[in-house]
Amino acid sequence: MHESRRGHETFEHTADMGLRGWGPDEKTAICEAAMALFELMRGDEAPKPEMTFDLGVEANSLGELLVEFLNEIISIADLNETEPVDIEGASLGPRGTGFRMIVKVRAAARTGDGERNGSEVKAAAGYGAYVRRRPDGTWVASCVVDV
Amino acid sequence: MGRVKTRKINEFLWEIPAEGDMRVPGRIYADDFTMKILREETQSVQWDALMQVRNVACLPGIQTASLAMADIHPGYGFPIGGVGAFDMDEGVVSLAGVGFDINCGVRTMVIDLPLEDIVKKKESLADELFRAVPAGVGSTGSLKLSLSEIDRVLTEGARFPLERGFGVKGDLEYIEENGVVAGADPSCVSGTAKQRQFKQIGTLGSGNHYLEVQYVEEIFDRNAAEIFGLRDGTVVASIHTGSRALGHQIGTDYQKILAAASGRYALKIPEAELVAAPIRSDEGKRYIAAVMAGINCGFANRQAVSGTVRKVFEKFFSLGEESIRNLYEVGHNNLKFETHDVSGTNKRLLVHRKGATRAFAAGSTGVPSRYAGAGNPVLVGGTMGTASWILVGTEKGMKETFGSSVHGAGRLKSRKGALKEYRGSDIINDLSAGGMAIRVQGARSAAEEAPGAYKNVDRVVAIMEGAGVSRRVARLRPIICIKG
Repeated sequence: MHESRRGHETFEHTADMGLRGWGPDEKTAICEAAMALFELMRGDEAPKPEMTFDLGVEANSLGELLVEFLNEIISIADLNETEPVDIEGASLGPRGTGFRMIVKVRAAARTGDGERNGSEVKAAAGYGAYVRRRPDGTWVASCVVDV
Repeated sequence: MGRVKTRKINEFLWEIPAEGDMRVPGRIYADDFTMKILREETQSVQWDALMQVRNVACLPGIQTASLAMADIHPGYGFPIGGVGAFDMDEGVVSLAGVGFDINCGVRTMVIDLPLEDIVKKKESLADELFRAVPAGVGSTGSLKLSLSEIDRVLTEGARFPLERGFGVKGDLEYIEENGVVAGADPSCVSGTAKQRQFKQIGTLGSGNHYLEVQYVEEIFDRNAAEIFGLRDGTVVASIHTGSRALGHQIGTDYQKILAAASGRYALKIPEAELVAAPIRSDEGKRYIAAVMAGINCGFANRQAVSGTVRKVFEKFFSLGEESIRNLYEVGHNNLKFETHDVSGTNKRLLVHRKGATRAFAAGSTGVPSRYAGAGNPVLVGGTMGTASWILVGTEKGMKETFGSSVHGAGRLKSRKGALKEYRGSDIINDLSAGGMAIRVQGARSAAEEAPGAYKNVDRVVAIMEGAGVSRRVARLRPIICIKG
């Protein structure tokens, strides 16, 4: 894994693709995992963002929250025919016995008809999904997406 | 080596003995080479297909064995190539046994044209097919429908596009379940799923989905080939796609519902992605009704794509509709209610096939009458540069695998590994130099789907034949390949 304080990457899964984000806190790690998703979805250079959409997700655990969050992005991007580019702002806090995350995603309109070089991501799977604190005090968020 | 204990039954069959929480043994159709790959994989990456076979064997109500076909590779929860059949009263329905690409499958149509005619015009025909069939990420379909019409797609299946000019009436007889399953309930499918799908009927999609024009390169079972109307050099068009965004969203929506159900019913689930609900529970019934709607959507999508392909051929070669016939269509990510022999008694079961194809033998119920002497064609998608296969199931397969067989070659290298090793442009150039007309929406797709990223499909089908659960009928070689 990279040494920088925050970042993201994809990792090996035979049929699908693993996503991993890390950062100084759990919110950053989850947002970085989302950045890995955006890159996987678009493939090439990031388009210039021209709109934003808000989303809020709740879950009982941080691992479930990660999966919920990524799936919500996949659904909204498909419905709105947009390309998610980056995250403008996010908040994460407790909600009942679980967690709630609110995020503003910056996006661009999807261009062409299937011409981009990215992957069609079907969904984030719960398989092996986690958000954990590492021994050095930073956080990592990881899951597999079905492509 | 490896975390799961296995023992070799014979040259083509291995067993994971039922131990600990396992309710049945695991059985893997594999040769020594395949087992070596599976064991090595557990050393290099964290995903372990053998452990997944073992975990499925722990699910409540599973019957006979947790099975893996010869194209086994790691999935999430179930392995790809996995088959699990469950008792209707004590059993569960598991999301991982279906996956997110509900009723992904293959349709193969026979084109009554000399092979030479296709070869001569392959480049311009490839251009026409590439223009006509929407493919790639975010593409929209050729069948335009309103949001309110999507519920009809979910209950009518292949008939919906057929009645709108996509295909001919004779198509339905040669689709698994005649192109529509009972029990679909659109009210169990979310509005988000419907909204995502209504523009996507008639699209090929991305990833490993494809449209190929192929020819029969070699026949192995003359009798079955004759029944299917296949001869050396017969031209076919094969379409590999599924229920698109609707299926993806159904999986996403029910992942949460079944996770909650697993806790509510105190199911002993060995790992998170095997979330499940009792078949008879409200959650189980609703998920099954949603999957059935997804299956019908998959039938409708392939019918619409097939109808578009048919139109291209008819126009390009000035053919009448009788010149193109549906050989067969069968899914490989499905749930099915089926009756099978379990310890000498016929039982109604819920069969999960995740990357496995229904392979009902000669004389079985559900096989088209014209194919009664052979069984349903088992359509096995290969890789871009090599071959696809048509198999049939056997009586032994009906007993051992609940009438199931392989669905493809099975991945050997991860997508990320393939991207590191191959350049999409090189793959396209190599395949073109080898005589194939190839059109892809993105070079990334060509690299991820490089022939070298998959196992040798010839070896995979030979394992199934060697085990006596399938028989090889014909090997198909691609001439044109369209990928999203």
